Amino acid sequence: MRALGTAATGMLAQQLNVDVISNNIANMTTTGFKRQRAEFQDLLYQDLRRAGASSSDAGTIVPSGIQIGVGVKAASVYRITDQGGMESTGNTYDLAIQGDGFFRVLLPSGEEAYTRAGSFQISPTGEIVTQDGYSVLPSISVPQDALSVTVNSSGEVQVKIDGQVDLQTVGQLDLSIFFNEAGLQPLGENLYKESTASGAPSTGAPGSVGFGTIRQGYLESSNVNAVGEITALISAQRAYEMNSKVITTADEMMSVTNQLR
Amino acid sequence: MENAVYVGLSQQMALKRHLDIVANNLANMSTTSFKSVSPVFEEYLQKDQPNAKISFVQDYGVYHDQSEGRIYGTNRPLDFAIAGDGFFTVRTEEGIRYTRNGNFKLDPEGFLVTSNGDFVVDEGNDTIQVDLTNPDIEVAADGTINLGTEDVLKLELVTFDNNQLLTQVGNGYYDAGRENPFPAPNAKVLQGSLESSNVNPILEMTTMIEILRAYESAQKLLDAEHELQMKAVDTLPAMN
Repeated sequence: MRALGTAATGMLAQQLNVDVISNNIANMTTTGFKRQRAEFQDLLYQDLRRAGASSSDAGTIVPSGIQIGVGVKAASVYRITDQGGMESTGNTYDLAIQGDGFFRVLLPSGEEAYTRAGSFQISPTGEIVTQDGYSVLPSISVPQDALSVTVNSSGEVQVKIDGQVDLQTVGQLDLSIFFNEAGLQPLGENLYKESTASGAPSTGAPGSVGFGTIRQGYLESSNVNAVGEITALISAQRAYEMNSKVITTADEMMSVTNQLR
Repeated sequence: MENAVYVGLSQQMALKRHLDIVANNLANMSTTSFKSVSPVFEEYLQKDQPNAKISFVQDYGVYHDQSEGRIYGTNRPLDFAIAGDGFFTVRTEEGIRYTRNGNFKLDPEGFLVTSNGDFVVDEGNDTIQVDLTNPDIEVAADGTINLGTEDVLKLELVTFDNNQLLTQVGNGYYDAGRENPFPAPNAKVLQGSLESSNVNPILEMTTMIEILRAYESAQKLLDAEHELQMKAVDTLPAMN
């Protein structure tokens, strides 16, 4: 019975939906996390009676035909990259990006990764690093005798050194943007890697056209909306139940047939 | 004498297909811009009997409910919903297809594509490419795209004399067949929104219950006919 298989695809789709939603909820407080959404598409159709076929010798034409769909499939699980809220922390090395762009991070493997979680720290050698100790690119070292560190909105890192009147510029952070940032490959640990879907990065100074600006002392919270996720969860659950009801009905119809003497 | 069996069978076949359609509607309850489908039944009259006409049932077509699904905001600049009658035009490997699912993306070269990677086209049937330094394009209600440059592009929004003649081909696409598209006068593009499916779950659930009960009563008919025949087999030889 076709309905059984069709309903099964519906249940699988809702299961995936719940998986995606639960990951969003689990990462509700993850810095820089971007929520994901599952997108579904209808599957192929079986033509039982083709529309446009002639229905008589006089050339009359079947107006609509019978097409029976065989269910649903997941088309993509894409990331929604809209801006998360700005959380004030007052921390020197907490940097949030307002607008488009990613910080560049050097992985231990030598590859480049990208992140929007700007909760950075200082390594024993004075370098600006991520929570996991990976260097932020371009590598910037803060002198040991620096009294304070300022990162301005265009990414310039300036330090105040004891005994000096002027601020000293020690480096310039840059940002990378992608055509399809939703196509970046997530690595976990708030990091993303370039993929064929994302396209090659284009790197520029914060604040220039197309690039976001940097806010020191802030972190970008996740863009997960708890209320939205819970309502999505409820409707996914109900849709799952309805599809399972189809299976029950199809099963009952088959059992009716089986009772035929 | 077996006519009752065949009439009952024709009903059961039609009901089974109806359940298949309901199952597909429910499976696609959360499919963006999916339109629910219902079968159309007709009487199939067999007139060759001398004094009785027997009517069978036949499903001769499907009807797409073209009413608009709920439009909800997504905040995503590349999500587009169409309010009113109209379709986006998409260039696929199989040819031109039409869709109301405006969940678009940018491919690595900056072309506007659907979730399947097929190109969305403008009025000149050209692909739409976006500049990386201004990837957040703005689309006006009439489909005009502001790319931040001097080029003026417009999404190809079309409609048909009879939308029922479009065939669903999966992936949210429609094949127009022999139908000719013409510009959609009433289509309004809403950026940052998507159209949900117009499946009415309550209606589908009650339809499903009706199908089950009708199927059971058709079965009763078959059973009764069967008993009648058994009785005939038992009693007729005794009358000899």
